Amino acid sequence: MNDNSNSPYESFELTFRYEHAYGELLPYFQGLRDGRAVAARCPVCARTWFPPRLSCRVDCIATEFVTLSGAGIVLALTQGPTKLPLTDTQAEMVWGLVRLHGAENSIVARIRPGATTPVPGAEVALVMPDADAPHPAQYAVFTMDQSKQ
Amino acid sequence: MPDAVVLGGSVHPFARYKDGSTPRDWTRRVVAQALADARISLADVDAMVFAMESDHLALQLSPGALLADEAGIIGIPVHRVEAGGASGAAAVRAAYAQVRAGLARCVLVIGVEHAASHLRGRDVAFLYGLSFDADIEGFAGVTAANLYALSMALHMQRYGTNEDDIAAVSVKNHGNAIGNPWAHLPMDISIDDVLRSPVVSTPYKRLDCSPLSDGAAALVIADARWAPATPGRPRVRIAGSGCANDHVRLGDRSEPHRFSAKSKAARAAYEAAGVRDPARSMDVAEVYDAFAGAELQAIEDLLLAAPGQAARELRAGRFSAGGSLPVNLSGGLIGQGGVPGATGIAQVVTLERILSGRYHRQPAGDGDFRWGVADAHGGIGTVCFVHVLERT
Repeated sequence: MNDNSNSPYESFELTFRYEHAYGELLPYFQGLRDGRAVAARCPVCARTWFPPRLSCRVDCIATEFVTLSGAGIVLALTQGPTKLPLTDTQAEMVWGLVRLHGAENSIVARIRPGATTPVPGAEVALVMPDADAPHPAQYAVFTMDQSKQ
Repeated sequence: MPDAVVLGGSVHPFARYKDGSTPRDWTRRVVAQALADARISLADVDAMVFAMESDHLALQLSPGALLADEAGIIGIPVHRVEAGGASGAAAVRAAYAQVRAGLARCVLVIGVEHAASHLRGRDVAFLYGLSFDADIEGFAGVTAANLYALSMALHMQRYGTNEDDIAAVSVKNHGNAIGNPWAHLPMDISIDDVLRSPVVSTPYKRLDCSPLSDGAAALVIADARWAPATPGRPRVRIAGSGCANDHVRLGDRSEPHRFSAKSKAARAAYEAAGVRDPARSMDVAEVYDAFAGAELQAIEDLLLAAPGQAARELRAGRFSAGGSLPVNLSGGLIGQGGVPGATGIAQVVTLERILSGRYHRQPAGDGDFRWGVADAHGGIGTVCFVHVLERT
């Protein structure tokens, strides 16, 4: 309760606990935990999406999971202060629109800074997580692919 | 089908309220003002549409029913619509559809949001981060600013748009908000002020970003055959309404540098209105500038400028208050403020007042404003609504 009886405000904190599931996207998130790029491919037209789409938007049938190399190219970049949800991590971070080789869509993901500043067109690769994250989406982190620079 | 006309409306000023007032208060006040402006009474209203984006922000589920009751609305059809930042615009479309379909003759549209003043900034940012694909992007830490920034970065790569061009939008819109009693952030600033403000997500600086605001708006849309006469005031009709969606994730789109769904919605609205050349026909526009660059993207996707040309035309003054096509005379989201449940409604209130010659800062020029276009979207151009208004 607010000690100041003249204030029109009460200050309180709410806490919720969720048992959160990922449904049919679970293999994608499990892959990220293992540093693998699990994508979805249409069994008819072979179009492939990372992040996965659960149905093919051309053939309108369920897609199948496949694993891509995790290597791709940066299409666009942005940088700014970021607070990672459900953590105390707050830092300057680089975010990129990344298209994996073999995928026809792109993912917005963190780009871990390395010796080289990323630029559009740079080759990047999905990295193995080096710490536990509260949500597996936070394992979608790419680094400059030194073998391609 | 009957014509849908805008009888009147009002806006409860967009701001960050620290005076202890709540959506109940803002709604009651704005409804009374809107009815007075429309020159009707509550007894004339035979349907209501309510817009609010987030129950999590307001700590009130089913807010439409509660706020209708508070406003004295009982015994008529009441429903709520939601489309993210375009929730208010979705409500306008729902009311327009009811009138056109003959389901109602006089619809009260109410939008409200308690978005800004009563939660910690980081909590608001987290909740709004869930506006996109929550599991794949939101929980990863991707924010609205990141997504808009990436889209604009692609626009810059393609067309050579630069940070000065983007900042010029912010300067214009903050300046347009001066003298607007409903505006959250009226400011006289320079391009250098924008460029020197803290980086939010490159290329966007703080002054390129619209604020999150509290506030409310209300509007009366009626069947033209029933609408009471308003002597001395030109009548404004909703001549066309368009809506289209896009893939939620930016990376799933074939053209992430633009808002393709906005173009589809705009084409539908212009066609319904019988407008063949919007760039020549439109006299004024209120567009969804959640971030400054998004105004340039919107101008192009609304077919008001050729792709990649909006920045050049803006710098030449075409979209200024005294230009041939003033854009965001209200200040837009950047200057007037961003209230997801109310913005799309406030845009139509603004256009109706401009077209009927009674806006609080009536634009200069020849004063012959016949056509206006209102544009709002939820997500990042994910669910788009475009309304074309005509003074009859």
